[in-house]
Amino acid sequence: MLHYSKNLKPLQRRSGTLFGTWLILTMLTFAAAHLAFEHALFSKAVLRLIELLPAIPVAAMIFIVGRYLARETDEFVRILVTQSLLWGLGVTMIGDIVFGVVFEDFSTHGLSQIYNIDVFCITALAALFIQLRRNQ
Amino acid sequence: MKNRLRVLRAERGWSQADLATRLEVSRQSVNAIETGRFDPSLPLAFKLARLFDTTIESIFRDEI
Repeated sequence: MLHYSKNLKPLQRRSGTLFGTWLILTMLTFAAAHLAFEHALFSKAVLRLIELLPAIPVAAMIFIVGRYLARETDEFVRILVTQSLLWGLGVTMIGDIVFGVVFEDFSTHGLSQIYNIDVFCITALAALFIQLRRNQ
Repeated sequence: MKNRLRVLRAERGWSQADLATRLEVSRQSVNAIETGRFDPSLPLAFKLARLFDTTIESIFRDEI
Protein backbone atom coordinates (compact mmCIF):
# COMPACT_ATOMS: atom_id res chain seq x y z
CA MET A 1 0.00 0.00 0.00
CA LEU A 2 2.91 2.30 0.80
CA HIS A 3 4.15 1.95 -2.78
CA TYR A 4 0.84 3.27 -4.10
CA SER A 5 0.63 6.09 -1.58
CA LYS A 6 3.98 7.42 -2.87
CA ASN A 7 2.60 7.69 -6.39
CA LEU A 8 -0.58 9.53 -5.51
CA LYS A 9 -1.55 12.71 -7.31
CA PRO A 10 -2.35 15.76 -5.11
CA LEU A 11 -6.10 15.24 -5.74
CA GLN A 12 -5.87 11.59 -4.67
CA ARG A 13 -3.77 12.41 -1.62
CA ARG A 14 -6.08 15.23 -0.54
CA SER A 15 -9.23 13.17 -1.09
CA GLY A 16 -7.71 10.19 0.74
CA THR A 17 -6.75 12.34 3.72
CA LEU A 18 -10.17 13.96 3.91
CA PHE A 19 -11.91 10.60 3.51
CA GLY A 20 -9.78 9.08 6.28
CA THR A 21 -10.47 12.01 8.61
CA TRP A 22 -14.24 11.76 8.09
CA LEU A 23 -14.05 7.97 8.43
CA ILE A 24 -12.48 8.36 11.88
CA LEU A 25 -15.17 10.92 12.77
CA THR A 26 -17.82 8.43 11.61
CA MET A 27 -16.41 5.74 13.87
CA LEU A 28 -16.18 8.16 16.80
CA THR A 29 -19.74 9.41 16.39
CA PHE A 30 -21.02 5.84 16.05
CA ALA A 31 -19.12 4.85 19.19
CA ALA A 32 -20.41 7.92 21.03
CA ALA A 33 -23.99 7.21 19.97
CA HIS A 34 -23.61 3.56 21.00
CA LEU A 35 -22.19 4.46 24.42
CA ALA A 36 -24.78 7.16 25.06
CA PHE A 37 -27.57 4.75 24.15
CA GLU A 38 -26.12 1.82 26.13
CA HIS A 39 -25.72 3.79 29.32
CA ALA A 40 -28.77 6.03 28.80
CA LEU A 41 -26.63 9.06 29.49
CA PHE A 42 -29.11 11.63 28.20
CA SER A 43 -32.82 12.18 27.77
CA LYS A 44 -34.58 10.35 24.95
CA ALA A 45 -34.73 13.43 22.72
CA VAL A 46 -31.00 14.12 23.10
CA LEU A 47 -30.23 10.44 22.48
CA ARG A 48 -32.16 10.59 19.20
CA LEU A 49 -30.09 13.61 18.15
CA ILE A 50 -26.84 11.87 19.10
CA GLU A 51 -27.90 8.82 17.09
CA LEU A 52 -28.31 11.06 14.06
CA LEU A 53 -24.76 12.45 14.36
CA PRO A 54 -23.02 9.71 12.31
CA ALA A 55 -25.10 10.76 9.30
CA ILE A 56 -23.03 13.95 9.02
CA PRO A 57 -19.59 12.35 8.49
CA VAL A 58 -21.14 9.66 6.27
CA ALA A 59 -22.65 12.39 4.07
CA ALA A 60 -19.27 14.15 4.02
CA MET A 61 -17.53 10.92 2.93
CA ILE A 62 -20.00 10.43 0.09
CA PHE A 63 -19.47 14.05 -0.96
CA ILE A 64 -15.66 13.62 -0.93
CA VAL A 65 -15.79 10.44 -3.02
CA GLY A 66 -18.24 12.03 -5.46
CA ARG A 67 -16.08 15.12 -5.84
CA TYR A 68 -12.97 12.98 -6.30
CA LEU A 69 -14.64 10.88 -9.03
CA ALA A 70 -15.83 14.03 -10.79
CA ARG A 71 -12.32 15.54 -10.76
CA GLU A 72 -10.26 12.41 -11.48
CA THR A 73 -8.92 12.82 -15.01
CA ASP A 74 -7.51 9.29 -15.30
CA GLU A 75 -10.48 7.32 -16.60
CA PHE A 76 -8.93 3.93 -15.86
CA VAL A 77 -8.28 4.82 -12.22
CA ARG A 78 -11.84 6.19 -12.05
CA ILE A 79 -13.16 2.81 -13.21
CA LEU A 80 -11.01 0.96 -10.65
CA VAL A 81 -12.25 3.20 -7.82
CA THR A 82 -15.88 2.84 -8.94
CA GLN A 83 -15.56 -0.95 -9.13
CA SER A 84 -13.98 -1.02 -5.67
CA LEU A 85 -16.83 1.07 -4.26
CA LEU A 86 -19.30 -1.37 -5.81
CA TRP A 87 -17.46 -4.26 -4.15
CA GLY A 88 -17.69 -2.43 -0.84
CA LEU A 89 -21.38 -1.72 -1.31
CA GLY A 90 -22.16 -5.27 -2.43
CA VAL A 91 -20.31 -6.97 0.42
CA THR A 92 -21.87 -4.61 2.98
CA MET A 93 -25.41 -5.15 1.72
CA ILE A 94 -25.06 -8.93 1.42
CA GLY A 95 -23.35 -8.99 4.83
CA ASP A 96 -26.30 -7.08 6.29
CA ILE A 97 -28.81 -9.52 4.86
CA VAL A 98 -26.86 -12.56 6.06
CA PHE A 99 -26.27 -10.97 9.46
CA GLY A 100 -29.98 -10.16 9.73
CA VAL A 101 -31.01 -13.73 8.92
CA VAL A 102 -28.45 -15.38 11.20
CA PHE A 103 -28.60 -13.11 14.24
CA GLU A 104 -32.08 -11.60 14.30
CA ASP A 105 -33.26 -14.22 16.77
CA PHE A 106 -30.52 -13.29 19.19
CA SER A 107 -31.89 -9.76 19.65
CA THR A 108 -28.86 -8.05 18.16
CA HIS A 109 -31.00 -6.13 15.70
CA GLY A 110 -29.32 -2.88 14.70
CA LEU A 111 -25.83 -3.98 15.68
CA SER A 112 -24.76 -4.60 12.09
CA GLN A 113 -25.51 -0.96 11.25
CA ILE A 114 -22.58 0.17 13.39
CA TYR A 115 -20.17 -1.97 11.40
CA ASN A 116 -21.55 -1.11 7.95
CA ILE A 117 -19.16 1.74 7.34
CA ASP A 118 -16.17 -0.33 8.53
CA VAL A 119 -17.08 -3.31 6.34
CA PHE A 120 -17.71 -1.00 3.39
CA CYS A 121 -14.40 0.86 3.73
CA ILE A 122 -12.30 -2.24 4.39
CA THR A 123 -13.84 -4.12 1.45
CA ALA A 124 -13.57 -1.15 -0.93
CA LEU A 125 -9.93 -0.52 0.06
CA ALA A 126 -9.05 -4.21 -0.26
CA ALA A 127 -10.74 -4.35 -3.68
CA LEU A 128 -8.83 -1.24 -4.82
CA PHE A 129 -5.53 -2.67 -3.57
CA ILE A 130 -6.15 -5.98 -5.38
CA GLN A 131 -7.13 -4.19 -8.60
CA LEU A 132 -4.03 -1.99 -8.47
CA ARG A 133 -1.87 -5.09 -7.91
CA ARG A 134 -3.50 -6.86 -10.84
CA ASN A 135 -2.85 -3.88 -13.08
CA GLN A 136 0.76 -3.25 -12.08
CA MET B 1 -10.00 -4.35 -29.16
CA LYS B 2 -6.40 -4.86 -30.29
CA ASN B 3 -3.89 -2.08 -30.50
CA ARG B 4 -0.32 -1.29 -31.60
CA LEU B 5 0.47 0.87 -28.62
CA ARG B 6 3.34 -1.27 -27.36
CA VAL B 7 4.97 -1.27 -30.82
CA LEU B 8 4.54 2.46 -31.30
CA ARG B 9 5.89 3.13 -27.85
CA ALA B 10 8.88 0.84 -28.40
CA GLU B 11 9.68 2.56 -31.71
CA ARG B 12 10.12 5.82 -29.82
CA GLY B 13 12.02 4.17 -26.97
CA TRP B 14 9.49 5.28 -24.40
CA SER B 15 8.71 3.38 -21.23
CA GLN B 16 5.13 2.95 -20.04
CA ALA B 17 5.83 5.63 -17.46
CA ASP B 18 7.08 8.04 -20.17
CA LEU B 19 3.93 7.52 -22.21
CA ALA B 20 1.77 7.86 -19.10
CA THR B 21 3.40 11.21 -18.30
CA ARG B 22 2.82 12.45 -21.85
CA LEU B 23 -0.83 11.34 -21.70
CA GLU B 24 -1.28 12.65 -18.14
CA VAL B 25 -2.61 9.28 -16.96
CA SER B 26 -1.27 6.60 -14.61
CA ARG B 27 1.20 3.97 -15.78
CA GLN B 28 -1.43 1.38 -14.89
CA SER B 29 -3.73 2.95 -17.48
CA VAL B 30 -1.10 2.59 -20.21
CA ASN B 31 -0.46 -1.00 -19.20
CA ALA B 32 -4.18 -1.80 -19.17
CA ILE B 33 -4.65 -0.31 -22.65
CA GLU B 34 -1.61 -2.13 -24.05
CA THR B 35 -2.76 -5.49 -22.72
CA GLY B 36 -6.31 -4.94 -23.98
CA ARG B 37 -7.89 -4.96 -20.54
CA PHE B 38 -9.15 -1.43 -20.98
CA ASP B 39 -10.41 0.42 -24.04
CA PRO B 40 -9.74 4.15 -23.78
CA SER B 41 -12.42 6.79 -24.30
CA LEU B 42 -12.48 8.78 -27.53
CA PRO B 43 -10.70 11.82 -26.01
CA LEU B 44 -7.85 9.60 -24.80
CA ALA B 45 -7.74 7.74 -28.12
CA PHE B 46 -7.45 11.08 -29.95
CA LYS B 47 -4.73 12.14 -27.54
CA LEU B 48 -2.82 8.95 -28.34
CA ALA B 49 -3.25 9.48 -32.07
CA ARG B 50 -1.98 13.06 -31.81
CA LEU B 51 0.97 11.96 -29.68
CA PHE B 52 2.05 9.32 -32.19
CA ASP B 53 1.14 11.58 -35.11
CA THR B 54 -1.18 9.02 -36.65
CA THR B 55 -4.87 8.10 -36.80
CA ILE B 56 -6.94 6.26 -34.23
CA GLU B 57 -7.62 3.50 -36.75
CA SER B 58 -3.93 2.83 -37.20
CA ILE B 59 -3.51 2.33 -33.44
CA PHE B 60 -6.70 0.43 -32.59
CA ARG B 61 -8.23 -2.43 -34.51
CA ASP B 62 -11.66 -3.92 -33.90
CA GLU B 63 -11.44 -7.66 -33.25
CA ILE B 64 -14.72 -8.47 -35.07
